[in-house]
Amino acid sequence: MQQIPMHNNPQSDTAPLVKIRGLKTQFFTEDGIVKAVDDVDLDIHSNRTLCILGESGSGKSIMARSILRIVDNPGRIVEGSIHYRSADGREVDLAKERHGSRLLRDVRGQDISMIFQEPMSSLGPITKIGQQIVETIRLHRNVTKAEAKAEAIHLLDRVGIPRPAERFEAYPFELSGGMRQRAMIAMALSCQPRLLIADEPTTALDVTTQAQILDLIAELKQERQMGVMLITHDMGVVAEVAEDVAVMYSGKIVERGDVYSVFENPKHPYTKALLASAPRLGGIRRRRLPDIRELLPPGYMNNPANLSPDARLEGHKVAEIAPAEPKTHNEEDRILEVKNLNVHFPIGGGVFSKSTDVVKACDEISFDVYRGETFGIVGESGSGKTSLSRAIMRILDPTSGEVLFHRKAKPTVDLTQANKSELRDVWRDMRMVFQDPQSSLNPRLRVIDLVGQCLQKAESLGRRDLQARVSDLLVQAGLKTEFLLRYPGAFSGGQRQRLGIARALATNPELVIADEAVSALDVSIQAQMLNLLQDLQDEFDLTYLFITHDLSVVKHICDRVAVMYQGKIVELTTRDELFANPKHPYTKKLLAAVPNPDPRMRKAS
Amino acid sequence: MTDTTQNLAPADAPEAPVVLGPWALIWRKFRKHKLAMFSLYIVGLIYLVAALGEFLAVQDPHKTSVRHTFQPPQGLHLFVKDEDGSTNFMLHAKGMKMELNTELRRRTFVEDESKIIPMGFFVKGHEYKLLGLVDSSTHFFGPKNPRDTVFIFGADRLGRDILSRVVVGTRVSMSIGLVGVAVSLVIGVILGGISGYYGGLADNLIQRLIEFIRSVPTIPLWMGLAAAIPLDWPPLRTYFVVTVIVSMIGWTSLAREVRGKFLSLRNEDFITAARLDGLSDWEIIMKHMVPSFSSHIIASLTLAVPLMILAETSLSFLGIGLQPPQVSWGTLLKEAQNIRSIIEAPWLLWSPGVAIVLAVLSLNFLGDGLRDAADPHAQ
Repeated sequence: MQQIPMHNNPQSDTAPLVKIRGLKTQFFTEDGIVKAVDDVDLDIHSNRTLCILGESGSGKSIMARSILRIVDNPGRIVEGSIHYRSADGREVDLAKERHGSRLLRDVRGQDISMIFQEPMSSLGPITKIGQQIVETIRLHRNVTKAEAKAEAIHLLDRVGIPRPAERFEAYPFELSGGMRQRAMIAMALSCQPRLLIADEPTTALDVTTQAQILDLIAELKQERQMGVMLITHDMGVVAEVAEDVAVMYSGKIVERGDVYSVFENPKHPYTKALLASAPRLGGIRRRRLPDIRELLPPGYMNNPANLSPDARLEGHKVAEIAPAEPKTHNEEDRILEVKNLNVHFPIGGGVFSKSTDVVKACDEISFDVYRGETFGIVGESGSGKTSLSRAIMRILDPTSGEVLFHRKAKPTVDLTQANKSELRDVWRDMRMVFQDPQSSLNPRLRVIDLVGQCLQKAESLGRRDLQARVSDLLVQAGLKTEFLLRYPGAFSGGQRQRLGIARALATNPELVIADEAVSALDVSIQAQMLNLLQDLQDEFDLTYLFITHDLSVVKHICDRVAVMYQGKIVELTTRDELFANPKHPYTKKLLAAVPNPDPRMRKAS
Repeated sequence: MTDTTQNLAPADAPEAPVVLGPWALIWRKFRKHKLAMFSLYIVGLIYLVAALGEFLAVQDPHKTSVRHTFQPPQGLHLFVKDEDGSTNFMLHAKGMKMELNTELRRRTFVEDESKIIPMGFFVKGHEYKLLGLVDSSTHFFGPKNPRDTVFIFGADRLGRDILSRVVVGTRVSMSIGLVGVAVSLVIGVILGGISGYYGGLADNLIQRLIEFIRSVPTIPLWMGLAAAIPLDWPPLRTYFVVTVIVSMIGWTSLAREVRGKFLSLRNEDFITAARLDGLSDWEIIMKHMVPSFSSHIIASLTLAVPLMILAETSLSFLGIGLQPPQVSWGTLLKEAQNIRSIIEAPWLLWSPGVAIVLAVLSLNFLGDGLRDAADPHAQ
């Protein structure tokens, strides 16, 4: 990779803030050495945003942690230098500093701050927000408590937390996810850092909140003239905020440059494939999503050493990406009717007191799903979409309402009234794909039992028949039959979700509810899963109820969409209508907040 | 760190690596815990002693002898001098002569240099049943002449061999831990499981019951229960009732732990998925939930065994647990209850004392090691 020319910063002719050369961070595990960061060269400049783009496992987080020297055991920096230029012009090599040295501690927090993906776990749960900020300020600056408090309130105000004096006394759990991330940023800013490292700062947040946080970071960068290193897997985020981009793959930086040249004229095949596979809101709907692994020449993904910058994309596969044909559905042939469904959760109340109020997770929800279509339910976290899916399946009991399930050969059932044995029967024809393939597969069971469990229960097959059936299912889901006796721990995220899909299809269901089934996956794997789901839909005449917060997924896979907001369906329409002509103000807001993977279409800010 | 290493693997490698099963991972982690590994060997050894018992006993633990009351421990020697002055190797003990010390008005024992008792391995001795099945009179170690007596750890007030009694008492003391823990396990898992899986009223009732039991001071409760055991019951039945009494308390902490695990597992996606697969509650509990926390249960059971052993010991020490002639470490300690025997025959205290400390410590270290190994978040 040494051939990639160093990017010359047109706007600042000063030396970079941080200069990384030949950095190698490796993990010495019992299964061998893992090269997490492999020979990385990188410059970070002040008053510029550098985005590190890469899939999970590409080593981007470890690289960022190496700068602050907070790589967990058994990881170690084995080679390379990290030259940091401090405010007075001196240069220190952070990679050579001893662990816990005075200098390192001063640099952390005072000069370089970091914010993490999950603010809840990075904030102390039992200390008030304000107190945590005051502590950080007083650790690095010689100020009185009162001054520190005033500064903390000012910071909270600056990061856009309303009523900061009041929130100073709040505990982290009293704040929403977005507020917590703001508080985290306030803390990171408390010592006026010269470089802010943000590790997936918005991945755990809703789109609307994400847009606000990104705006805030950009504003603060401008205001304080600091360098920002933003780590993300989201092309949209990069296009929205980056000035410089570095693309990481398998521990190496495969491409770097300013955002326009990378997006408009990518050189490396991996970057090209990544750009081609990014889901977009605009443009035509495509029949199949382009899949990085199909775009790249065979053998590339498995052996990163093969990734030479002058390889070509598989042209014919790009051409195959044809627009989708519009589907039509018979509106008389309904498979699911949800009528006035309510799910209420009581709040408050203990052993001796009645609950004081209810949260209406689902409030008078009614809709129909037609046979053969893909029905999408979109909403932010907390909008009640997961409660809705669970109430439909009767995983949790709805407060009132009807859920009628019309099957081909069996009588119609009202799930809200069904008894245990009826439910078991229904659950064979209505299956679920879970969000997190890691937690929905019991790590202690083998694949044959995980996938075959429902088959065994439904048809009480012998071991040999079961093996044959599960093998078929694995092949359908794009897995190998050799995987039968493995534990789920041996699979990657994408393969695990394939297992989840195989398991959902085991009993030949008519309706599949996919609850954020692709949200936890990398973009490239997401594309594979969506393609797989579509192929299976065509093959087995499936109906999907697709629950997601990701509008680009909706855009791609759904035929009709219901937008949920605070427990209610605020808009229900066809997909094309939704994107072309959103009616409800919330839908408009949601659509506007989605970052567009094109730096030329940046929102004015 | 396992998470990180997994994430660092190429995103969608076609060949999944062969990954060790959960138990193999626990074992790999456990092996690194040196102290726990060492304790594992000690515990293994102690249970071996418990199983073989009489075979390892030097003498008949029940044989009394007036001439040897409170005899101090005899040393073992390796070399003997022949008549012609040459030194030969022979494992032996020196005989002890009882003398009456008129000044102190008590009996003292002095080593009798002339009386040499040859010792050997696999010697004939008193009759017993090996593992309760095979008739045998061979002993691992003892005087070559079955009529000789050797007291390596000294003798008690009836002239019985302490070493043999400690060895034979191992069985009762160590097994009462196991049996007690087994009883707690059954009660704890069932009640804790009901409490955690169903929640609501059942949970409330069981938790209040546990709180009630735990709020009662242990020793008076045991005393009250033990006082109800008729004195004329056969030793075996007493033994059984004592284990039940001991586990009356033991199950409560286990039940709480199981409940906690059930509560956290109940909302796991894979449990919901299993429900959707049509499994019944019982199948979900047995196939999905219990295997997920069995390693934790094993660890907490290992930590519960020493508590049981201590409970039995304290009961027997107070004279309300096992009754003589049953030999256990607790009943042996009871012999060392008065000041006189501690001053005159301290071996009555330290022989069973060391055995108890050794067993309890090694079980605790073993349990700690298991717990650390079973916890995926521990470093």
